Amino acid sequence: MIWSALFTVGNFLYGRLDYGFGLLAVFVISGAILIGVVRRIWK
Amino acid sequence: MQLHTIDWIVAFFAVAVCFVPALFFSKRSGKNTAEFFASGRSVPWWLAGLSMVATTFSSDTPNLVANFVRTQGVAGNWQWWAFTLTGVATVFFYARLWRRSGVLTDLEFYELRYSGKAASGVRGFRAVYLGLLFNCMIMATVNLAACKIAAILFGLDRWQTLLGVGLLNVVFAAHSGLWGVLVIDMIQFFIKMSAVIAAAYFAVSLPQVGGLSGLVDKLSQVRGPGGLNYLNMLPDFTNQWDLAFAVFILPITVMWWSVWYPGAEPGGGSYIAQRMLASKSEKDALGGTLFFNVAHYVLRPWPWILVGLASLIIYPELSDIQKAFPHLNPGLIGHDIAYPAMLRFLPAGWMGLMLGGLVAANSSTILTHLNWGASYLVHDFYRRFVHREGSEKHYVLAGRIATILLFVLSSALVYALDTAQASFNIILQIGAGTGLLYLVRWFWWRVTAWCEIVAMISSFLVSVGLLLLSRSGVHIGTAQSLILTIVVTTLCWLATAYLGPQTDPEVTGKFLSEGPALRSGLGAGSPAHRAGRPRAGR
Repeated sequence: MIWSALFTVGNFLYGRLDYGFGLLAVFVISGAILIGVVRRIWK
Repeated sequence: MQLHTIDWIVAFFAVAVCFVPALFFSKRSGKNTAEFFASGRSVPWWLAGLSMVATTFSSDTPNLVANFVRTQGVAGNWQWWAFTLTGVATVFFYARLWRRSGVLTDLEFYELRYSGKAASGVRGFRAVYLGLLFNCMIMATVNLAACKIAAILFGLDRWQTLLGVGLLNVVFAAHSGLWGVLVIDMIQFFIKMSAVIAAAYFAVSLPQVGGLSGLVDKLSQVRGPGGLNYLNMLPDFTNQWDLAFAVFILPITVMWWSVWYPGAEPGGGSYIAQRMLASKSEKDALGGTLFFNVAHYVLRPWPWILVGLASLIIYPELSDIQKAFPHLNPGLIGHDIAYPAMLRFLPAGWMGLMLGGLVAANSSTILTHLNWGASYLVHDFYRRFVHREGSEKHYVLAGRIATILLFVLSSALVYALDTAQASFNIILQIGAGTGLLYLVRWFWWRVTAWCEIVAMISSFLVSVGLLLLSRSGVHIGTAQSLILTIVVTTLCWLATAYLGPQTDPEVTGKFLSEGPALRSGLGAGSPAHRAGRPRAGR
């Protein structure tokens, strides 16, 4: 989740918009999964 | 470097805005040690998180990143990006556990988790080892960077920089305790981020660089040693295997779980744990640590990286930096100095903001280390072993005196350090191999205080042995040294876990029953489990 966010920013700065948007999608999906898992762990 | 009047005004304002609010926390922080070292355990997640991220942003961090970029490309940053794994593990598994433990410092944990003289011994030993030795070395590293920057910007000698930094930080750390540190950190974070984003903007906007697209175009055509592409975010696994192994494979497979260094401790520890313990609830501890990891790994690196990349165009070689700063001591010239060397292009006013930001970067780290180190020396050593029956006021005073002494000792150490990179490597070596222990001790009943003692001693002895070998002409590479230290240290403490004395089953059972250990299965098989005691404490 954090790496995808990190490289989303990097790719946007490099002007590689396609990679940037792809990684942004990875960030959103992995973040949602992680939050769900953590909520279940600490329920 | 010439500063304009507007720069001095902006710098003064930036520093004053950070520090003045802390003056109002003296009375509260002086009440007792829980207030002085843990802010009365009432810190909200955003303040804890901002303080964590401000602390890990010290004046030498941009220099270190510039060094990585110039010598190993952007991919060189995987040496610290790999620690995201331990950061995320800390967020989701350990932050709540730390807050739940209810201890005042993470060293107090030893006498909660282990039993007997070994537990108190390891607590006292680590109080001195971390609070004094390790802590002073880190502060010396940070202050060495401040000395380098001040030498470039103002031509100041080391003692002049240390005197200024010392007066500012020691006064506030001793006066305001952790409350003051947290509030100063919060304001400093915003000033520092504004300053580094401005530095990146002006560096990239230089005509020689030509904006972001110009930067990418120019560096795409440049190759470093061994055909290094500076822009690549992943190392070259085919043509530069040695570099890829050192900066990517080793950190991501081994270092993140095995290496201990402040700010990225496996399972959390040091000043990160101090902020979790100061949080007002378990949720705040988790939220603060999550915010820290996102800000640390996502928000902050790119402005530093952009300056490092732009410096490759402005100063392709170290000799170019020497030419631009002919009066600079040649002993200070290194790739890490490229970052401060780029600051000369900042326009009037912005230079003042950067100066305020650099002061903030230095003081947020030093303030935290002073308070954190003093908490170990007073709560875990002086109060535990030397003077047990003192009043709360007495221990707060002891904390203030320890704060002053820590800065004096770390200042003396500045003269013994070389470059920021060398210090970073020494820190990693000493902590190598101990990390796995800190991850599993929460869950695995076999881990004892003796494991911790053996891990520290073996890690230290191997590091010293490697240093002696190096001095006698037998050179072992950094990566190989690290692996050797990790393997020896891990084997030593694992052997101790199976062969050494065990923790009192009563203590183990009580501790494990209050954590998620039995659900993970690692508590199964313990003497306490066999006796049917676990879960009794829930």
